[in-house]
Amino acid sequence: MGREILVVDDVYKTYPGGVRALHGVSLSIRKGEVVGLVGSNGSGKTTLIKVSLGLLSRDKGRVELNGVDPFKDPRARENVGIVFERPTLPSGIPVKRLLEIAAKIYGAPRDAVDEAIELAGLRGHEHKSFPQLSAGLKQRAAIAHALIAQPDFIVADEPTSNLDPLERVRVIELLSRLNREKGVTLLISSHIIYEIMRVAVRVVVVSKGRVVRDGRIDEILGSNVKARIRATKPSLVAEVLRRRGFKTKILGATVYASLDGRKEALMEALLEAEKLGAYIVSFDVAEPSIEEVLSLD
Amino acid sequence: MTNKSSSARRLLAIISLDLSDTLRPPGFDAMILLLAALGGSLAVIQPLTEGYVIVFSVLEVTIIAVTIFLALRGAAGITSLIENGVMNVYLSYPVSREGIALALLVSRVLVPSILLLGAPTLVASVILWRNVVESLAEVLAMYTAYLVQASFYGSVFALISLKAKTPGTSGVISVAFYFVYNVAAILLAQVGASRGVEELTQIANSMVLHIALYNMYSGAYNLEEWNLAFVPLAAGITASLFIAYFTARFEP
Repeated sequence: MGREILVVDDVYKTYPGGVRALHGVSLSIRKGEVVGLVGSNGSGKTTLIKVSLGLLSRDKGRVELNGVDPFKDPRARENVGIVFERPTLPSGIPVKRLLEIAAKIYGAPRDAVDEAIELAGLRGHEHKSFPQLSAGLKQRAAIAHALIAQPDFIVADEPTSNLDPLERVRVIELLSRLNREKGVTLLISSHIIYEIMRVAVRVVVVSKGRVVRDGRIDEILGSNVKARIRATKPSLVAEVLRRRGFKTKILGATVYASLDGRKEALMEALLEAEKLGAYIVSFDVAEPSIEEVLSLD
Repeated sequence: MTNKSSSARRLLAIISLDLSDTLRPPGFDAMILLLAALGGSLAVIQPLTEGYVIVFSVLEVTIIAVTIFLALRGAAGITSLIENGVMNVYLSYPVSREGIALALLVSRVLVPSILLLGAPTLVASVILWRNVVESLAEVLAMYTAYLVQASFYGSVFALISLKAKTPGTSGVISVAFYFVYNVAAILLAQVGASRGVEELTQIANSMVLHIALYNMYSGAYNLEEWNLAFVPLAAGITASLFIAYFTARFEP
């Protein structure tokens, strides 16, 4: 395993007004890892990212980014590329000029600008200013800006929010490629767990300011893969499933059942429910959303 | 040495990045042209001979426009940076918070003040160049006094911008501060004069540096050293407060 790039140890953060955003959060990321940070909106992902980067102070706990406290020592952010949730960059100048200035700040060579434009797929749009770009291109510009840091570590906070499905896949693929080809360590946050699955091996689940899961994605999802059954008489279907030992939940006309690897038992239960008068409209096996992962605890 | 030059290079880069927002056209371009034209017009229509009077006649009107620009574009622009997330981008650079705060003061307060006060002064100086050359020290001193006064206002506005919720609120509170401050100076001067309380007059005089300097050159009042030190000191304190607050407490 590589060296630890980020260490967050027992961190607490309370916003003015008493809103506690982080409660004793601990997390560490090693060089070369791709870590997905998942959690519903308001769970504390963005606060955790900002505290980890030294953009926000903390009430208590230890944060080390590249071996130093990022709130006190700006050297912590050398070679760290950051993509923020709402892609925003200074808007008064063409993107290429902005990247040239950023290159001066990071001490990057001049050809780093062209390389970042090429790698982020921004070629042909680099002379436009940031507000003139489409949502997808804005995200690419933000990624190009992160690449100027010549990063060992990229932190991307909801990099696919506000993008259409095709652009989402492209952005995730681009980040994944950076890890494969350049060995860049990635921390990517999202509230859509299947998106994280495309790139991350390890997932950290945050809920109400706490880390509630931290492990390999298959381990975390393994126990939470569920059958989604649309049926008439959902209460009857749920009752039959419960009798056979399945954990269930009804949302409208849909019954969710935790599968726990018991596919055959599920099929038998559905046949029994049909015999008792329910009509199974459809069923599928699905990886859960983050809310579903948390609600099946 | 390498660290120092690297810090200076980064600081200059952030200043140039932020200036691209502060000085963006057409607002700044229109303003500087207007003020330059104003400086030229006033220099032509008023047959002035003494250096300090030339600068006073040109910049006494200009400073109102400069102050409003600093409130609505300079400082309110800081609130905009916070609101639209660009401040996060600045803070994500490997630059100290003190450095970013200093860069903001330079690009949001100092550079616009130098340029906006400088343009009409330069135009008037070109038109009345013989008189200006004869009293260059007075001209430079008066220009510097206006610059320090504007920097004081700008530093206060910058402090306000960090706590304001929206750029509009920041602009309105800043402009309100400017008027309250100046009205207070006028009231103190009037009460001091009508009641014969010399201390009040002295305080009023020291609240506006260029007026204090004008009075000194014209011999209208006997000034003490602290009369000239008050505004530079206040500007230094507010700028330091801005940097200290930004470094230790500010969270975007």
